[in-house]
Amino acid sequence: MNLISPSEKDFITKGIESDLRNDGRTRIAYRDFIIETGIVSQASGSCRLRLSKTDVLIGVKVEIGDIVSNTTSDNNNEQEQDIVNSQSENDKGRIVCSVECSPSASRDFEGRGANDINNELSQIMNRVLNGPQGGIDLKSLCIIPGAQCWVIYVDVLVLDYDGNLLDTIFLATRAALQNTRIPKVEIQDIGNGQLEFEISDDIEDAEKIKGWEDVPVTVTLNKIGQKYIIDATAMEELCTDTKIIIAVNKSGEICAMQKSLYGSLNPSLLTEMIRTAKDIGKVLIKNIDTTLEHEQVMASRANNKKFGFFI
Amino acid sequence: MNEVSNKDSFVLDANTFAKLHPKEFYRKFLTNNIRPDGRLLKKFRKTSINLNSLKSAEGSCVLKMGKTSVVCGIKAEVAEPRVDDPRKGYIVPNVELSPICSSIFKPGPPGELAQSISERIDKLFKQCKIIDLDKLCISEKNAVWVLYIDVICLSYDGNIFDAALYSIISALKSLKLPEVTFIEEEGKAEASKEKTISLELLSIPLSATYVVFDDKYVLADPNEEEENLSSTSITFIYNEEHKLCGISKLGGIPLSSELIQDCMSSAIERTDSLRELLESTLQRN
Amino acid sequence: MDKRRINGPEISVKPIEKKITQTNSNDNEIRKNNRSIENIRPIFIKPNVIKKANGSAYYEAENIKVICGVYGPRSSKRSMVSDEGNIYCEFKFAPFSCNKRCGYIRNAQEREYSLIIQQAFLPAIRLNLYPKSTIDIYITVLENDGTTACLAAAITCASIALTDAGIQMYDLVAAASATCIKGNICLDPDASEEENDTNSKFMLSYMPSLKQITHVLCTGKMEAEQSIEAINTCIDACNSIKTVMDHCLINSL
Repeated sequence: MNLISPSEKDFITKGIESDLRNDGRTRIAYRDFIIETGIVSQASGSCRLRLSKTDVLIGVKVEIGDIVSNTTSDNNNEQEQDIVNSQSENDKGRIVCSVECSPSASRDFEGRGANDINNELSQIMNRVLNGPQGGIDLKSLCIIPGAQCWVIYVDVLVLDYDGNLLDTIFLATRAALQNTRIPKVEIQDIGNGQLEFEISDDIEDAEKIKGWEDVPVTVTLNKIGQKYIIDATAMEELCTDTKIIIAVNKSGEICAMQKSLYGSLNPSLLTEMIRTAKDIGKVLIKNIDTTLEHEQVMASRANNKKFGFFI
Repeated sequence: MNEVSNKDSFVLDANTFAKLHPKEFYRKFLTNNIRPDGRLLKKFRKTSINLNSLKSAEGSCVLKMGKTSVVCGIKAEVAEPRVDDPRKGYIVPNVELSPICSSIFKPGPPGELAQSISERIDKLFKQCKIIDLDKLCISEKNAVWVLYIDVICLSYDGNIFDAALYSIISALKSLKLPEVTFIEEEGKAEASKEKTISLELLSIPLSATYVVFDDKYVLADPNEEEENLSSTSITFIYNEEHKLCGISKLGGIPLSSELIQDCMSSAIERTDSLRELLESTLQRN
Repeated sequence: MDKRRINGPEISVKPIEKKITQTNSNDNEIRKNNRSIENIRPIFIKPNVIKKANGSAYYEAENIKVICGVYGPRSSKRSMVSDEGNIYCEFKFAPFSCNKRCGYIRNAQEREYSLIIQQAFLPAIRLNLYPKSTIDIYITVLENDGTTACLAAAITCASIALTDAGIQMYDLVAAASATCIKGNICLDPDASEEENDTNSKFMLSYMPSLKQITHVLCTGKMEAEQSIEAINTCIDACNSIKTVMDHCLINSL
């Protein structure tokens, strides 16, 4: 466990009350982030995002899997379908997320405590991304109804930690999913209702994931004293007693909301937080999209440059 | 004055005495042929059942026996039969003693007691022909019923075996299976909601448990404290024809045959009264 | 394969129910179960149902049945000793409580719900009075009719059980659930209303006297203003659940 002294806590809390944080930011200012996509060559899509010192690497892998309407396995990492699930859902693919916090990133991630953190983060991701609020068109991932579909595995590796982990993961996930390409599939009818499919090898044919634009990002609001801040550093997180996680999509709709930690809060403060989260979330998505666009332009320029003598 | 009288009559109040010398406390009662909870030695606790109160299960029973209460729920699902027994269904009984019912049970996998009770009940089903497994067949070689019988203990106060077995039998009696047709082409089983069939039981075995205190006092239907203080316990399982289906005396001190004979006649009486209760409850439903 | 339990066949499924073509006479109705949008199923709570527990309660609201047992405070394991008390929570669906049979080993959802219930009670219990101790909360759902509503029921039920155990609290915690059907906030959804996953689900736990939210959980798409409306509706519901809880506690004295 990381520890903080009462006087440090007091210093940070008083600063936040007067709208000035240790690093000079205001309560609702975000840190700058650096983003790189397509850096893992074997993955279908990847992204590394650094928000100050918080550093996450995401690899997305698309694989063909069986459609399961009712999961029978009790595997921890496997996405558990809601218990009250109808059997009719046999034309949807799925997204399976797993988060792994490297023990070298923070003392909190050492030993058994890491399991709980990994499990909680994976669970939030799975819940937000699977379902209509996740944005991704799960029906488009279906290859043969009732039999095969694409399964998107999102593997998150946390390399370093300086607060605001969940937001970073979601920002990076959005970028990684934007970067992901699914190979083209051709379905053939081989008579008497039997279907067969063939996967095209050509990278040029690969398609983007449908609906990645609507993937939400989360805004984590930390209540410190009687005020709240966004994008908390590790030190600030230690002063927090209540955390509200709100997922927001491009059009400013709330996609998920969850409290965590041990405090409680006023209804009026929660209302205010929701409104702030909505505005911040919209701006964040806009920022990351323009960054990604910019990166793509740069990448295509780099590709056009020809090297070697045989031109 | 005060000091002297205190010295002369050092009196423990009843509760403290019971905590400090539980065995002596019991002996004082038992020599007068009564138990601390007011029961006679061969008296069973008040038992009540409530059938089919859980809509999510195909059959269910909530049972209260004194302060012991259990819930039994039966879920029916469809599975492929074993290759060597293409017409036989499955019965999967499990008893769960979770930490909710008493602090003596710890979270995690089932303990010894829960395992042994599940095992004994499973054996009873396998060897005593309670249900004709062929009746659980939907379509030969393709589909049979699996009856998952789960007993969850809600409040533990001794004699869990009797409670578990009675609740299972009652839940089986109230079981309503949906009528299912097997569609061969699709390999699917389709159930209709309106039509239900109930299952016929070939026999109705029920149990009665006794413990022996101080080698001579036989206590029927022990509560948790009596179980802990006694040296041995003996369980009889009788069917409706008064035939003995099972008897278990797991270790403990040796017992004389007169003592066992004595228990047997009481056990027949007890199991009969339980069957009557079940019948009258079924009729009321 | 669990060697310590009796095992059935490897795979078994629920038979498919024949599609009943229901002609819905009143499609204009928002809810199919003849309840108004602000209707909560009538609640019955009974404390002190488990003999050996320090505190316990049974909760029933039509087809939702939840039982909760509280043990403790007991001394914490040495590795967990701290100035403040701990809460350990275990939430479990009984194998026969859901539409599909669920196993004995807690799945990811049950583990998550355990964590949520723990977080919902952390602000309410006076943990500074229980140093070096742990309070155990065990919850079993006997019948499930709406998973979100079950979570809310579990919190309300545990609140009574904690009171029954004499654990010192700042306030009772009441919880309410809601769903959004065609833009309307409907309280206390049942399983049929939850099945349609375009409906977003909402759960809020609240300390009515202190006017503090102890937990909030929401999944599914919603407008920001709509979620604020949902919060307010749930708070109103919590206030009325509180009166039921008060009655139950006064009657048990």
